[in-house]
Amino acid sequence: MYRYDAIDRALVTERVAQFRDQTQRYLAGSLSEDEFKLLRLRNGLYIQRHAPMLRIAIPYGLLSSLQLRTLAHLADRYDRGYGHFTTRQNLQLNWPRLEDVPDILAELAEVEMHAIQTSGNCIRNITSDPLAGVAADELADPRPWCELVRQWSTLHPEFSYLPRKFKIAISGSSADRAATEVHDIGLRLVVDAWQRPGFEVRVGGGLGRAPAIGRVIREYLPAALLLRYLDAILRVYNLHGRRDNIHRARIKMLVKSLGIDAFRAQVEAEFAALEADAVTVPLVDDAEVERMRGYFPLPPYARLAPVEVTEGREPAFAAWHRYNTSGHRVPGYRVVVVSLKAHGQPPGDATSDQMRRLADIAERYSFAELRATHDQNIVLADVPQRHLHELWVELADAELATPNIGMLTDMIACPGLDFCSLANAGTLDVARQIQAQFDDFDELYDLGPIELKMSGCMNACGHHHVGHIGLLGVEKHGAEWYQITLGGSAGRGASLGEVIGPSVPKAAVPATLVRILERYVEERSEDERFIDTVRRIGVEPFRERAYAPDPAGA
Amino acid sequence: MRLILRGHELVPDTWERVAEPLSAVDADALISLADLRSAPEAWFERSGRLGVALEPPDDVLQLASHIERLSVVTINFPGVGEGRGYTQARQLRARLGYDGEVRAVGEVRRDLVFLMARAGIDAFAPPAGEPAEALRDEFVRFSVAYQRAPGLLAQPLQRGGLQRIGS
Repeated sequence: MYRYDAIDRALVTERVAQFRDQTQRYLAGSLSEDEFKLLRLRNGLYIQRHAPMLRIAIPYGLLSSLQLRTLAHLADRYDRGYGHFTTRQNLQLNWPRLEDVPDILAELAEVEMHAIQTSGNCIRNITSDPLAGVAADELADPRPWCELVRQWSTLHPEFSYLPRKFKIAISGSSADRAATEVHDIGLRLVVDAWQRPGFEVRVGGGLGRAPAIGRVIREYLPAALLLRYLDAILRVYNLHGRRDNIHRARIKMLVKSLGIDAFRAQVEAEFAALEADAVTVPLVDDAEVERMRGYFPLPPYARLAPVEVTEGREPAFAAWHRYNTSGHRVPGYRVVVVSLKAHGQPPGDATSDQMRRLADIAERYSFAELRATHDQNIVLADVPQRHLHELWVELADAELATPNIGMLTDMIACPGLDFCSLANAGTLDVARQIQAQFDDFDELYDLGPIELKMSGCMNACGHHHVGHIGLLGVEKHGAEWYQITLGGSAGRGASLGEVIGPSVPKAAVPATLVRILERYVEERSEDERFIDTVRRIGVEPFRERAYAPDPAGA
Repeated sequence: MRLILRGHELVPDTWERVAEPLSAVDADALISLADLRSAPEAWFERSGRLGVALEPPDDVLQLASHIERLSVVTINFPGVGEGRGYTQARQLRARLGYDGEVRAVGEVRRDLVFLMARAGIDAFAPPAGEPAEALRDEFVRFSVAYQRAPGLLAQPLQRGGLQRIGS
């Protein structure tokens, strides 16, 4: 993983000093609320329902054991002993005191971490594929590029006060485990006819009130041009994005109002002009790419023969192996997904104790590195097969082995009304109800892979638009109701879900899901996945069943 | 007369907004981009110096044919979140090659000065209550940076070994 040099260390240290000074001035009354808000957001600090919330950056989701241990320590020392992994691969602490945040940032800087630009109208965390470096379908590891883009975007003199937030995701494989098509800029590694590396560049994807799939602005951008091209896109957006209405301020609105062709023309004109500028973004030369690749070497894999691991073992282990682990490029190794979706727990939460144990586990079994995923789990990317059983025993003991990865209860949920002052409805109790309703794992497995995603408001931090089943909490007559969408998906060929009908009251959500899934079971052909059945037969059959009057006596 | 920060010096602000080429012909005159474009020669004929006061929606590139004769360009930051001025500064320096004074006006708060300076702004007219001396301290807020930028007042060490200019 990337290791800080003197420049990186100085930057985070000086940033801490800057924010400490700003916090002191605010507490002393010489900075107004509005002035301080601008500054604290750019250090990840929200003022929330109950307490400030601090969003700590985990660049492209990659964490070392040491860093995870530090997060555990921070959760204990400054918070209530747990943290929340988010849909952008960051970690949120929900209860820090404002006065403590400079100290928290100082401790983070000691382990090469920060909270820079995790909020505010600036370029946010660069997110990526949690299987980067180990996925069989990977064209090239996206992480060197993630790090280059991260540095280019950090404290950028021109793009730190954009019309609105800006999210970039990078994928290095033909599948898309980074949801690049619903990001402001989505980058997908591709090669040309001569195998030269480049990017397919999409712009204007995003969720929220007006969800959109990103449009292709360049089918093939030679890799060396990446940072300069991003510069051109951001400049056009910075100048022409709307600043009069926050609901119309994302780049997707600009792309939509100009049309992709006119938008592209502006970007290409700016890009062409950059070459002659007195000061301009350099091309990324091969030496720089190699330098960056050097930070992401292949781990020192042992030469291992593939082994059979489940024979003669507990059925629970077999289930976990089947659903929570997947194949690895290197023989004898396996990818493990640590489930943060235990039934009865808020999706994506981990206690400091769990974090510490995971840090130890990663050290022992997976080269001391972990990846936070955008669906709020953790990946141990390089586990030798022969250690899987003992790993499972430890994970199970820490309640990190719920064998539900990819299943209905492996849901994404934002923190919702319990924590977030933007929310209209709760999500955590709905999640609990759904977990309780579908607590029979045989039934869960029979339903097969289903991506359920839940947001507590239209800001869509729970990515409900791209859930196979999406739930959107709304406030109606002072109560919490939930709108249901079907047919969304976040991977390659992303789609936005279709609303199936009027929202349902909170207490009715689990039963409504039961009905929808009963219809699926009736209609599916053989092994057809839920999403494929929806695509084949449309939402009408599900709408019909979801809203059908209860059978007599039920 | 009000003092502004130009580079590291506190200097009086001699510039005034002028609406007519024939009024205050000796003065340092700040005019709008639209006024310049509508009658450039009338403005340049005056004996006083000429500067343009940009507003956020103004297209800096429209100054291209006049820029060499301008003594100052002011960039307005009407609100603290207003980001277009940073691009305007960058375009003046890097695209148009302008090396006259580029001055930030409006919400020129100390916490914004470092990036303003990096973007190419070299003069600052802070609002009342924001002491100019405090702004000066911000030029060295960070000793390092990840990007190349046209600013000369703030020139942190950039990866790739570009020059560091002492303050």
